[in-house]
Amino acid sequence: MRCAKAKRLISEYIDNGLTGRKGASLERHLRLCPDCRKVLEDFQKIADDAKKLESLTPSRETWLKIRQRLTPEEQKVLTLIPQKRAWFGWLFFPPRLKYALSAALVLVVVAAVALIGLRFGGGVAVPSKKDSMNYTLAKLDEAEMHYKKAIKALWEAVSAQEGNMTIQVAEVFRKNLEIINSSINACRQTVLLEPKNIDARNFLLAAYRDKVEFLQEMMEIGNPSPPKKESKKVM
Amino acid sequence: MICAAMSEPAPSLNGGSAFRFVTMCLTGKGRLMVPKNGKQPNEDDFQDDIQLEDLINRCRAKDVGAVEALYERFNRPLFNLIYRYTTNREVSEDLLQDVFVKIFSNLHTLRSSETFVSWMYRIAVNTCFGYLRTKRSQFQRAVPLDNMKDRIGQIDRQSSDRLMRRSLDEAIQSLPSKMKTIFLLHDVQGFKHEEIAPMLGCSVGTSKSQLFKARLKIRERLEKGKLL
Repeated sequence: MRCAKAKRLISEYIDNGLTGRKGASLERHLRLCPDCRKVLEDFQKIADDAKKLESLTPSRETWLKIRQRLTPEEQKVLTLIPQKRAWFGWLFFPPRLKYALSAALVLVVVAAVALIGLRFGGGVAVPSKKDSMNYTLAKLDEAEMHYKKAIKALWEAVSAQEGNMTIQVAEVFRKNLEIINSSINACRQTVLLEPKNIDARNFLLAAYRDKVEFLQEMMEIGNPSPPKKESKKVM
Repeated sequence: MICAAMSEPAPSLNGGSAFRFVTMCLTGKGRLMVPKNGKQPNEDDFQDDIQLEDLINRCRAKDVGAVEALYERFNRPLFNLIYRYTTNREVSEDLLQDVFVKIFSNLHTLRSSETFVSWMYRIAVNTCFGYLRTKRSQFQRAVPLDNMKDRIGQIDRQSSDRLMRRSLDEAIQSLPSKMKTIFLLHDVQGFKHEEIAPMLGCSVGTSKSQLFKARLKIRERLEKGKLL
């Protein structure tokens, strides 16, 4: 076998091996020819190194842009800035969202009442310092529980409409939620370390309140006001 | 050109049935295996391949989750293929967008999910060729000497393995388009000649001989750099 033919076969040989007469003939040639053996080694190294070439990953934005391009035009109308809504605007929400928002509002009011009760004293008798602390903590626990329920109700409602959000809104939603959640987690850690620290608890409640407000805003963004009816032309 | 390629069934030298026969022989199950990160397919990949058909059907039914899942599955191999044509991350991301938009917008023209992978790669390769045609002059520009000094400095600091891979990357860049495509699909992405041939509309023999020439050219270049 000549070297030119052997080199051609070497390329096939390293891919899936050569069997039969061709394979035997090539192996015989390789035993005798150091140049072709070097070609075999080099081709093998090239093929091995090609598999180890740096593997790159496209940025997350690439997918978001693809999704944006695939979104039908009519769904791109939704803007980042929420439309100004009348105070009765919530009436136009879909029933499920309307229920969630009402439930969340009730829970927030209950939490607020619990806190007001805490600020202005809970009873006629003047409590001892220890009793006062326990009462405060109990009220804060109660407020925290109501905020959690409100967040749960709103979260379910916002999650249900997440699929309808534009890419930009979804991205802003995700980033803001991460910040608020990390703030809640940090406050919660502090409360766990110092369960009787009233300030820490107040910060935690403030973080919960932020989340409630944020989720309410997201619901408004996801449900723009219904289009105004065109006024009839006066002839 | 690209649109025409997308709407046509997978081209094959000996017809669609011959291609199906070859892939059946290759996989034993009549489906085209999907290489992952340049590795040869295995039985797990075959399980993935069964799911691929379901994924494609769901994409056709406009299931957003399936569209994202399909993107997640193929974005890296396609991105790496594109990057080795453009050598520019931003441009590659733009082209990747174009490729996936074409894929999802034309999925209804795909006759069989068995040919999806070769169809998808053909779209990617055609998109890259289209880009290279419009940007050819920019790729033939000289590298300024100042840049070279920096690069030599970087090379000194690299280990021999990294240097070898970097040089290999550069050697791949220097290959003519078709040779490069076959080398990338075979040696980097892990496709077989029998799978590459229908993707590029050439014969298995052509794929083999182009790969041989590509390896020879790369070897020649690496030898000059005393890396072999």
